[in-house]
Amino acid sequence: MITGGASTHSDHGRGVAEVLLLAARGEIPGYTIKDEKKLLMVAEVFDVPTEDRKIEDIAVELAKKCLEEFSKDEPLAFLKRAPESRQALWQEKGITPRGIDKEVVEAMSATLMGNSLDYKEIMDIGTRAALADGWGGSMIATELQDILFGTPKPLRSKVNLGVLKEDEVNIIVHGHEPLLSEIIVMVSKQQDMIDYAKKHGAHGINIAGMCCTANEVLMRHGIPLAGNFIQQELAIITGAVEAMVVDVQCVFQSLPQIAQCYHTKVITTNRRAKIPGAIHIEFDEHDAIKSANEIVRLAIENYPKRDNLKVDIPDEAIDLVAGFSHETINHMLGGTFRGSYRPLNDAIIDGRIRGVVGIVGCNNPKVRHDHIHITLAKELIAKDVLVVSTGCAAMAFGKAGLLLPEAAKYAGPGLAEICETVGIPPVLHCGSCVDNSRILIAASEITNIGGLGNDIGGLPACGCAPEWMSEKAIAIGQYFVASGAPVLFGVGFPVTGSGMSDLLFKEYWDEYNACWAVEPDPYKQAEILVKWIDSAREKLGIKEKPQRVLYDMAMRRELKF
Amino acid sequence: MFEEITVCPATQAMLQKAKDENIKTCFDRVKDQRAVPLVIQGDAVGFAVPDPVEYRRKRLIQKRVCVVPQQMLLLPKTLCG
Repeated sequence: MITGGASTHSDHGRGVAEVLLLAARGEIPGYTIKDEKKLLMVAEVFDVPTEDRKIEDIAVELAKKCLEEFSKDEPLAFLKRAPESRQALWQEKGITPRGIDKEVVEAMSATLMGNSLDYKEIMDIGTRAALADGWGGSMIATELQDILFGTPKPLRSKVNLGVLKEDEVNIIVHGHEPLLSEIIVMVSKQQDMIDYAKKHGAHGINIAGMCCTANEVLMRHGIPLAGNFIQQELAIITGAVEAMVVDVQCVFQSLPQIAQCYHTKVITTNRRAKIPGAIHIEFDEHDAIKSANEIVRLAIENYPKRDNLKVDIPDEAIDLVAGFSHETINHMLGGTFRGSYRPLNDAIIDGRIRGVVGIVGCNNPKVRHDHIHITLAKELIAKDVLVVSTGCAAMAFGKAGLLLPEAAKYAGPGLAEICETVGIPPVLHCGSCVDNSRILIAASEITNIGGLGNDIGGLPACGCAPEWMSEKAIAIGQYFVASGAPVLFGVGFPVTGSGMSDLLFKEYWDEYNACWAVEPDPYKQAEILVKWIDSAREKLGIKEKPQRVLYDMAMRRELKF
Repeated sequence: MFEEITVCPATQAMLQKAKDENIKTCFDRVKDQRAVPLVIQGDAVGFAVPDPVEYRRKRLIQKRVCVVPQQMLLLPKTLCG
């Protein structure tokens, strides 16, 4: 399961690196370098010289170095972002990941019948593959996408099926990669395309997102979210979707069958994710504008076929604020010139923020949709725990109004004070599932700033995937645990009742200062997560809120330095 | 009516619409907790098994049967019309 998740995130990262290379060479229309500052920052990590060089040349060299990350024999470049103590631990345990492809292939090879029969060894090999995902493939995807499409900044948008419009051509972009959807968004705003839509009786073109493709275009363009994973069939059932354009991951095979009941065209765009019954328009990065034009035109031409008697768009569409990249959080806390996590660390140390929990991951149709996410988040923020979120979990929070600064009313007094002062919601939307790498970077930054120990392991921070269902969640969970953040899963777990569970649920505490746990009930989940946070606070010596004492002159004279 | 399935009112409304139009969604497929037979890769017959314990048991006892994990339950048995 780890290799499945690691492969797909890393394949995503490779695709973005290839596009960056072509874009920097000027070989593909539609793509440019949008964030030069980020390019220079990432170039430094990869030891790419930047002085007196053209931006395009730096980007070419960076893209090539990123592509080398998939096959090289040395440790991955982004690993140096982790705290030194964690890097040393990985080295000591022999789990420092090398080339991403190598780690995945080795893990697959080890699980072949007759190969590794030692579950601890298999898990170590799997851990290398997971780390190669989090600190490799996923981080490459996130960072290079920021370079190509811009680093997200806070913006307002809307979420839920009510974002679909009765009088416009509705196109849903669904899946996980922004490479094509970015261009679809661009093409749909062109006047000739809007005129073409009007010629077919529509008032305009409405792009809405589903799953993590939605998160990608939301974070950078404010494109509204139609819904999360489980709502993909239901979007078609509104009867108002002209085209559902899917790329990779989390796409139901049932979509074309449900679409047959309406006029909706389901369009697959990636050879890795074809579906019987769908129209396939291969995304060609060499001419993405052509692919996007074809798709948007097909949707527009489908608009007159809509059966208005079958159309029923729910009213629900709630405002949200998204776009909390690592850089944005840094900036919001410390300002333009003194961007830093220091204020966050101080707030954690003085107890106004008890800790940080990343609630991430999927929906699972086996549990009450969105319920566990929302209940858990409300429980945590009421206890002064700041929640950071990605993926379908973030969309659940959006639908519940938790991604608005006004949701500070649900937070405990300490967290509410921070939210009101900084102007942030108590639940921060950090992006798509590859953007969990942003959380790794943030955790490393919090450690490097100082005051909360010298490692991610031991921070009052943990992760949770309450409604998980995908192999990707397992890969993410494992790289978080191996990076030092305890991880709690809901629903159920593929491994229980064996030596393996002892390893994952107990022994990992000694190995990684973090471990796995499983609990389906959201209230009990909150208890476990707060217990982990409080335990970390106790070990750091910050469990008790420091009393504010007004020193008089005599007391000051007694101070010893 | 669909409150026990989802807390999202828009989702509830669309589930009602799906029911009215006799369309099965992923919720219906999962509610039906039986193993769903499906054919994958030529003659190999697989079963989507929702319960991980059951999944392991089947894998152990049915060597000739390809068993796929719970995610595959999202494969369709969609009816409409």
